[in-house]
Amino acid sequence: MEKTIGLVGAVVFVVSLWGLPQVHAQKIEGETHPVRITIPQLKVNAPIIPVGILGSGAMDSPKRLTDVGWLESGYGIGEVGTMVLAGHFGARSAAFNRLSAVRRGDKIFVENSEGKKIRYIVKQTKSYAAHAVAEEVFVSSDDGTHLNLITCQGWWNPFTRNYSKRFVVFAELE
Amino acid sequence: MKQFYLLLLVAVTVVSAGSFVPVTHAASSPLLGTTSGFAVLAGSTITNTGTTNITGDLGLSPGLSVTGFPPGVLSGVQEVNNAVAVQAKTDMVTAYNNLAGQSVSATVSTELGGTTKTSGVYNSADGTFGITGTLTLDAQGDPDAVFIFKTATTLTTAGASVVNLTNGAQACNVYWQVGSSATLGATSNFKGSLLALTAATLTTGANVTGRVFAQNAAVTLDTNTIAVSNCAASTTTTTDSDQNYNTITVVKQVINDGGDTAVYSDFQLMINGANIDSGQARKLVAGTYQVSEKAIKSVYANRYTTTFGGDCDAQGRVVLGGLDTSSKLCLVINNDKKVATTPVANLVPPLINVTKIPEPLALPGGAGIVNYSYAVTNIGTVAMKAIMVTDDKCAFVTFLSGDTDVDGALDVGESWKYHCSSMLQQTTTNVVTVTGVANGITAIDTASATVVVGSGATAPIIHLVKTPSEFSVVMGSLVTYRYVVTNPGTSTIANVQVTDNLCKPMSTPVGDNNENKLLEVGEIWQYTCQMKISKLTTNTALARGMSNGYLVEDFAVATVAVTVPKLPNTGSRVTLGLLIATAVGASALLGGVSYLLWKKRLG
Repeated sequence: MEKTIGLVGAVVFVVSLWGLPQVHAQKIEGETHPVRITIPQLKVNAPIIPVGILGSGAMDSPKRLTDVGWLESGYGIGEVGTMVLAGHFGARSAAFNRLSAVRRGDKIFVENSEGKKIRYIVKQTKSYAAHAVAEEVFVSSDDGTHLNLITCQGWWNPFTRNYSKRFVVFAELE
Repeated sequence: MKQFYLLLLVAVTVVSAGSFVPVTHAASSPLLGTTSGFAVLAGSTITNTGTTNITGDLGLSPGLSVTGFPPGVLSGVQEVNNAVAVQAKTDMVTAYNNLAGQSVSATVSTELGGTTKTSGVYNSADGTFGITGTLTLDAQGDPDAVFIFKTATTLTTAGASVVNLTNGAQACNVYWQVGSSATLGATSNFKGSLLALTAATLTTGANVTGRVFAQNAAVTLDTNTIAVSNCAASTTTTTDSDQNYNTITVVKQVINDGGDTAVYSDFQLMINGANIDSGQARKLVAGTYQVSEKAIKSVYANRYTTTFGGDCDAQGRVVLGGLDTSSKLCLVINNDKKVATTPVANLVPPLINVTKIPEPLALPGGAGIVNYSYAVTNIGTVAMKAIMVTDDKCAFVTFLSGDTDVDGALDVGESWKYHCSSMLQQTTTNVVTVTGVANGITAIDTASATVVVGSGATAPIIHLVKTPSEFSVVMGSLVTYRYVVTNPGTSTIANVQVTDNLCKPMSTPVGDNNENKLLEVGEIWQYTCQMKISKLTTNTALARGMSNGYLVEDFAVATVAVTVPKLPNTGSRVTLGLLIATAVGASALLGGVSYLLWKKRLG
């Protein structure tokens, strides 16, 4: 499994960006804490709040249905690694209700507290069982700058108050 | 050759006895003893024709007949069957046996002409060697690179053949061990010390930079130039810290935390394209070097990601020399791409530690035997298997004791003792590397020691142990590393510095009890550093210090694993209470409708 070396990766990434045409290169300095996510195609526009890891070992989700949670112990905006955001699904006001309509190539914008927007592009989507081991959602195997979005999918079990599946959008810095 | 087979047998026995196998193919110069000043040494006769020019001594024993001087010119002393010649012959046999006994790094075909060889011990597949054209010996920037060619029977070089030395290669470090006789072709240009068991013949105009020794029979010369080549004093007995410590050590790590199956030997490390062994300190001139690696089995090429760590940058480049005179340690980490099928919450990386003490610490009277003692301990929390101990300049590291429960695993708290002996002719710094594997993660530690030969000085030894506060943490946790620096030698160490390639800032040390800023024997200095760990992290710490004009260093490598979170519950629909209310409501409705229908039917 892939989860190695962070700082060296940062150097690789910066150097590799250097070699790319500068036209599309985004400046990724500044505050790394995300505060807002927008996905124009899906009309998603939600504030982001930091969340932690529960005693059960699962990533927490935001208390409010309209908020999106950011796994603060992972990586932030523009950092080499994976920034993980989770939003609710199901209730009418849930932030990620329409997430499953996302298409490869869609743009995702994440804004930091300084108002700077960083653009990510959707690469793929994947469904997992609710209790699946899904390390690649949280840890990347390359030196890229990733953004992964998580929400629920499948059948609602009212007794466990849990959906049967998780839907994950894998995006990368454009 | 008997000794050669005996050594082979010992090596094979060690291999079969367990996994703690010395795997090193480093060629080392034999001790030439009193033969070092001789250009020509023979057993039966020395016969010369023409204006041969010899720079160096000429010796013969037990034979008595030296002819042809003049016209041959000898710039040296002629020793015929006297005590000096007898001793030189004895030392020559010792050197010959040493060469014959060195483990082979490559078996190659007879024709050496047209090939380029890097440092190593080369054996002939057919038992003979020949040079037609040019043989190039490439030291790759290492002035101490040793080249040894061993043949069971003959060495024959063609007319006008050449041995070409490049990238710092020196004739004083080239040796030819010939099982029967050697013949050098007309006007050939030969380099190195030629030690033939029977006879050596130089045809017209052949030139040798090195030595021509024939143990049992004749040396026959014809209008030749022979000049003894001894390595320059500046490289043989260097005490200059810059020259002593400009080394690059590359350490390989294989992590199978996803359950893939590649092993250590499936990857070949290289510096500037030349193969190197993991953990072997390469002495190199200042410059920028490229560390790289290839999968020996192609199936693994795409199944592992390779990242560089330690002093190597992300592309595997490392800069040696300049203002920074320290040696460099690069890590090449191969991590399998497989995804674990079970949660890896219990994935605990191992931690290994080695200490190395030479006995004696110095050889003020000149060359001699040094016994290295190694203690390998498990300072982590999980037992390790596949313990490997390799010393870059001491070939036969043997396991002595310590596996108390005889389970082949280095258990927590166990201390395994190893030993190696080496004949040192010159001041030598060697590096031992130990590795052990647990939970698919390889732990590494190194220890170096310098033994000063021919001077009263004693080189210092520094020892660094690094331990993380936890070996496996939840993603994003803060981990505190503790660094313990000790002085296992006999001389006080100044200018002690401890750095970590990923963790900053390093605390100030605690433990300099007399506050003199000197790490004295018996003192224990402790440093700490804290960092956030968000993925499996292997970082390298370096402790450095100075004493008696020597720079000493020790590396310590630690790996911390992370527990990746489980997927969040982002469901937000009806609660159980609402569901029950709905169910109750639906039942009431159903009941009401049924009642109305029943009433209607009655009606």
